[in-house]
Amino acid sequence: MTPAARPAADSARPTAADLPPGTDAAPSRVRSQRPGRRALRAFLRNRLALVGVVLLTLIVLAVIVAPNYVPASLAVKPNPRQMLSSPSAQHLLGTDEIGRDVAARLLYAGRVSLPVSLSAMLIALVTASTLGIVSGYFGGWLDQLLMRITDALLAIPAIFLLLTIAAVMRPTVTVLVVVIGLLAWMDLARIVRIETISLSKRDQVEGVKALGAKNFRILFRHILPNIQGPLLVAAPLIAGRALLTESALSYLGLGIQPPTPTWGNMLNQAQQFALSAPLLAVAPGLAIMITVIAINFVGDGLRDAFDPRRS
Amino acid sequence: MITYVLRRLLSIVPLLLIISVFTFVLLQYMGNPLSFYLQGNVTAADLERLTKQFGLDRPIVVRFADWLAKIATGDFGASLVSGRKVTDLIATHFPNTLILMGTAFALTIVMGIPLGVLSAVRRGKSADYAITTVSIISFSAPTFWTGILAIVFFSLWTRQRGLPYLPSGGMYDFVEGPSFAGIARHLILPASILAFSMLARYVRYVRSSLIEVLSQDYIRTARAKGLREWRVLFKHGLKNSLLPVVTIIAVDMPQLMGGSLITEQVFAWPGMGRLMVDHAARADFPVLMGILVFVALLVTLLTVVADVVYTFIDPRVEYR
Repeated sequence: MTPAARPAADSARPTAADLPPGTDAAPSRVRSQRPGRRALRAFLRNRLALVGVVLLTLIVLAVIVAPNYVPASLAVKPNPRQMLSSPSAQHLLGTDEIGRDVAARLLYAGRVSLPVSLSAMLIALVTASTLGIVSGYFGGWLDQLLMRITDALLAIPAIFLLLTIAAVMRPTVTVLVVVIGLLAWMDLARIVRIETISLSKRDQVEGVKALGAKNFRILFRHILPNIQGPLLVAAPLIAGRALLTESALSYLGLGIQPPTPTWGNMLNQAQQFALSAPLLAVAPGLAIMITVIAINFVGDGLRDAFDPRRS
Repeated sequence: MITYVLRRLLSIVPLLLIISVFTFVLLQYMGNPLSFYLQGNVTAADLERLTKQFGLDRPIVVRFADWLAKIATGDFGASLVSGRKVTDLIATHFPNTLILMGTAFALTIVMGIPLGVLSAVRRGKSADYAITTVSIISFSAPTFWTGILAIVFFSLWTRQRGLPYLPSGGMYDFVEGPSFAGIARHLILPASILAFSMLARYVRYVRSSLIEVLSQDYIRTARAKGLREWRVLFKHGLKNSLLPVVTIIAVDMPQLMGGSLITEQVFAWPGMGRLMVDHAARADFPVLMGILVFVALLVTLLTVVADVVYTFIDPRVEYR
């Protein structure tokens, strides 16, 4: 997305922050013309994006309410009399190699995998916007250093670094989340940096600078609100990638460790039993794929909605 | 031109320096370099001896300088597990990864470009929708999962039914020994799965790039002067829309290597990814360090090559 292609309304829009305290912010008539509203309308017209939203809502709801209907013991307690049983009324998706209910494990794994990717996404967003803004706004040697670090991190495939970190620290879930997040910000930081550079050259920012506004205030009031678009567009993509990364790592046996179920580590053992109990391998993969597809639908919808060239 | 190439090559140096600081801090500072030995029975005296032996009692700056001097001369040390030199390990495993990645990449291009063209030409028709749907699946399905499914269908299930089946893993039959035909047979599944995982990006890219090019004035001119449609499409359209693909190839390198790591693990392909996973599980730091530095160097070099190639083939790009 080239900054120049953004609508002029974006930069010309009056900022409530510059009005004296007590004055009401922009009147609603002006607000309805904001790019945010236009993007929301475009998003709601996108059928695939809505499918994504509905799917995601269903998945998240199922995972949230699971403990009310499915006892956790079904997901974690081995049951030697029920090993590798095929689907039945009692076990909708059958049981795994030590007799745990696959459907219950899927739900409880979602309670790990989804928050993990969501928090990793938040960490990546915060890192990317902080470093991108700082780099773009202040420039100079700091910019050089930060961008070289970005390049360096981009040059090593994330999974190689993650494996090394997993080997070094045997990470807990929290550490894993932080690490996945800290390896997912680079592309976005570059975008944010470019946006910041172009924003800080605009009259709006030059103007408040001339009025003596502090850097901190400029960054928070004038730069940050204007990079919401790229952040929103990137967020789902990062979350989807984080989910895939976590599951890949857990599949390799170096991510989240059993007995905590995640969609990735459920597949770790499934390979051996794939012929006798195919659902064991199919179900977690499907869960990952459907979630990522839904996330990507939402992401595509957001991208189209925020890209003024398509309409 | 030569100065441009030289300058691009020089820009690698600070990058590699940052990468080596990363790796060093990660493995020597955050991690305990002796953790491999801690897995067995060690006494405090043993630990002290090992600390001395590895020079871990020296200041961190001295250790870093020492380490940097060593890797600069290509000495990554030896594996703690097998005692083999890290450079040897990489030299024996990397060619296998290269075979897998090369084949997968060729498959991606061979399938991705025609599918992208078809999708662009039949835009909004059922063929376009079908291709887009497959792309979405390819983009969202985890490689290890599609890999497992492929093994189940094309190897285990077909074998059970007495149908011709593909090998489920490895690089060649241990009884037959390595042969071209054997390796090719073992390559089919992993290479296809890896190619499938990358397909979406190329299909999407070719599609949108071609759609954009086809809306240009010179395409209208070509049509107006009565050129046949296929000539307009392939000579004028495709040629120009494929130029930027060179750039994504470079951007995709880390992803391709990451994807091949997982594919190697699923199919027991004896490449660098498998080497990495095996040794990561056993905290074999010298090997991990060697692979990290090697991969980073490879990716950075390839990016420079792609940049240079791009300025060669696209006269509109000026190099400074």
